[in-house]
Amino acid sequence: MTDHTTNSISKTMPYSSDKNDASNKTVGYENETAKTQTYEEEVRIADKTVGYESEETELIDKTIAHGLAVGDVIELNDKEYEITDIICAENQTGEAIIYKIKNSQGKPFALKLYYQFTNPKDEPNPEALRRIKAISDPDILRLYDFGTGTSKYRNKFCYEISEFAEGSNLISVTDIRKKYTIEFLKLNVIQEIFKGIRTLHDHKIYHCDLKPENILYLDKEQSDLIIGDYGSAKTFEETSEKRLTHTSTTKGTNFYLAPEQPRGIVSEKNDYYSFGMILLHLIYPELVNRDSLHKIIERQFAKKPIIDFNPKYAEINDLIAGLTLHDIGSRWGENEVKGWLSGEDIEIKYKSKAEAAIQPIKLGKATIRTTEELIDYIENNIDWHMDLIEDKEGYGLLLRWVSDIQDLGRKKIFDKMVRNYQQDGEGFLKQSVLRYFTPERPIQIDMKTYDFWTEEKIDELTERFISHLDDIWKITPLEKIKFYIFQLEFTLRQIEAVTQGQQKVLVQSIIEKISSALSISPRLDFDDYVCDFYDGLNDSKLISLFYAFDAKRVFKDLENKEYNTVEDIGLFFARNKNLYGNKYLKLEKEVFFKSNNYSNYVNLSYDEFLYSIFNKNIKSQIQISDVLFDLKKSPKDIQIKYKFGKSLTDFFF
Amino acid sequence: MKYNIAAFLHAGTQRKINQDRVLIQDSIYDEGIHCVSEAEDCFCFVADGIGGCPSGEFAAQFILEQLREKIKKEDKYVKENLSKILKSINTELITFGRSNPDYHGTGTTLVGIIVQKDKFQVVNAGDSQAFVFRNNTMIKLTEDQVLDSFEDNSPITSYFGGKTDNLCLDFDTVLRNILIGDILLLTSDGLFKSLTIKQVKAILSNSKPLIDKAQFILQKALDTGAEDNLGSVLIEVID
Repeated sequence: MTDHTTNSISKTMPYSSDKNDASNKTVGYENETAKTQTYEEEVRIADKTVGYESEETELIDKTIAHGLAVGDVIELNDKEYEITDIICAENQTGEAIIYKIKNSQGKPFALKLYYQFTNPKDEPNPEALRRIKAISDPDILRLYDFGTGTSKYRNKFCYEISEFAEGSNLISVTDIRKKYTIEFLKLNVIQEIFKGIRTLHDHKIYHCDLKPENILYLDKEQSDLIIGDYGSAKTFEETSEKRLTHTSTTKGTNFYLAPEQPRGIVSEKNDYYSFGMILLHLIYPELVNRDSLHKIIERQFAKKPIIDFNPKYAEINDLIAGLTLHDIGSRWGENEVKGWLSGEDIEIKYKSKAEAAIQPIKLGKATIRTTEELIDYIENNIDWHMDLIEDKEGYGLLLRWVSDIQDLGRKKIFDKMVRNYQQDGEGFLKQSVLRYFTPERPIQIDMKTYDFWTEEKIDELTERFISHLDDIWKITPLEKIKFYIFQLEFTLRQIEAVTQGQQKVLVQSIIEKISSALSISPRLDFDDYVCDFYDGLNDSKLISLFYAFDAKRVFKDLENKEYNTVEDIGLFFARNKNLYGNKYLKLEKEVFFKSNNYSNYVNLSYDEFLYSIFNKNIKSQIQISDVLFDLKKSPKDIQIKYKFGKSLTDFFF
Repeated sequence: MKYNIAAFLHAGTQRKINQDRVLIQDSIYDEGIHCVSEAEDCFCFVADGIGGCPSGEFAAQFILEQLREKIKKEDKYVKENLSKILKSINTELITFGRSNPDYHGTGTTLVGIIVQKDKFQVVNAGDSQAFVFRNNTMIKLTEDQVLDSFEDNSPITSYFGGKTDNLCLDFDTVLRNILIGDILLLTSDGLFKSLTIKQVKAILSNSKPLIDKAQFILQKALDTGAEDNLGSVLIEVID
């Protein structure tokens, strides 16, 4: 047996797709970086926490990317521009380089020049860009020109030429918290972004990649906000949600991405979700990291507020909560934001009507709604393991049910518990699941019941329990003993977790005593439902446990008859030579003799053993019974001769 | 203990290219059925190139080649060294992609197991999977690193390569020990899009040689449809 000692995008990326693959997955967390680089030199955002993997921000070799440098003149759509600066060597999504350019009149523009797309379906949507180009609105970055399809730069690189935003982006500030006070947000940011989103939506354009880096300050003073960067924009004629075909692409930067978007569901609500996450970033910048996003997702599934909102920001917390609801139908949209801006009290519906009730587990003809029904199913269905654990769909339903009745964090604990005890067999798993849901269960050993939950003198009950194991261990397979020990530990730890005061101390002392007897370091808690006592349990550890709970324990034979002295044990083996090699009795002998300072007797052969115990007796018996023994000097080569020719056994009896 | 190892790869019935790769001991494969008998230790990985990225198969191949080259025998089971090496490989892949537009953003998942003498280590990044078949039970050893495990095709949150570093290696496994009779299964996600756990269990529980089991699983998956690439390794623990 090998011991574990080190314990131990279909996948589509946001900007690409496999057109043949209906089952492509999108890659999450792409491009989560601690630095933003748009339109200015790299500015460190003081309030961003380190949480993401570090981003490598070294510049791409320009000669390889587009082959362009400052001072170069390029022709785009029959117009010449000179490159005056490289604003962003690699933007957040790693898909393009941003250049500052000027035309022949010296007017500055921003040129977003994409890398070559390997899949044309990943290119910016030309219809969306065409519509955006036609928009002249103070809340939308003006798009002057673009090139896709056959109008790409050098027939390879898509591009967009837009207004140059002098003030960089929403988070290009030295101190986010200082700048984005509640008043500033209400007066300047929320209104502006909302107007920008409405403008796009009015033109049947969904941005699909709203994030702080795409919200720009047109002016150096950073007061005039506009929405920019349309590389992910989509057009839809319908206003209801629409699922993209499997050949389409889902793009977006994922911290701000609506949860349904990677699945190809695009609607106005995508942009409103992103809006909410942007506000979250501005008010709670320390939460912009992978770990926080995981927790946010967990809480969304648990139908809870996405974070523990700080009451200090009460005025905006509701807006964020409403915009970031997981359920698209419940999520705030244009009407709700309008209402909020007007001071109305808008409801935040964490659960849709359909979600209000816990989703039952439907298994063929059976439906499980309650814990009682689940217990009943497990106890009375021989196929429960296949239906609820091994079957992927069934297990998924069970996990979802666990997270509904408890929460997503518990779901993970439950999952890990299941996978842990699966290794020990169906019996262990069944007990762990039953006890997880209904802890107050007694333990059954044969016909006897041990109810630790109702017993006040839990220490005495534990002694009796272990004594019972001592009575049966020699005639019971070790696996079964382990099963009982497992249940004992599971129960004791559950009791410890819920009791207080003296009872808690008592249970803890029992656990420590068992741990010590088994030479195991006691666990600090039982949060993960992992038991240690039974794992690695062997006969040797078991007998140590018996001695630990019975100070008067002595050598016991196979029928549990006790022998208190070395001579008694010697006589037992003299009568039962055939049992001298029995593994249990060997162990009994070993433990007894070691604990009584007779360690040197442990590994003797049968004859040596008897001689060592009885050689003094033999001499005295000779005197008494006047039987002569002729003993050779070396104990390894004993020959006993009797005056009357009796055998050693005859002599004794 | 010794190990019989069998692997199979196939592009599936819907795709032209197989972006899955497997590494068995010292050999990397991109198609076919392969086996190793009575190996003294076990060094096996499955990499599933990310389909939406350019040249996902390149990333899968790259990762396995680097693994084979860089993980020396004496370092195989040391988790800290393994972590360092895997992270450096990830950096190399990203850097390579940035320098070569055709491979920019290429990425792959990885799942694998290293067993040497009395120690073993499972490693996972992405949504490829590791199982152990024991006592007629399929036990999943790894957690899929996806945004929402309830959803099919949920975005993966950790992988090698890509445009920026998103690797979050998972060395945690519920596997406490390896027993004689166990059959370990490393697989890209394509297998259980085609077959159910029950179907795979039925094949693993028969008494046929491991290579036959591998062939049968592959054939069954193809007969069922196999819309995704298939790449799996079976490891039988023998005396």
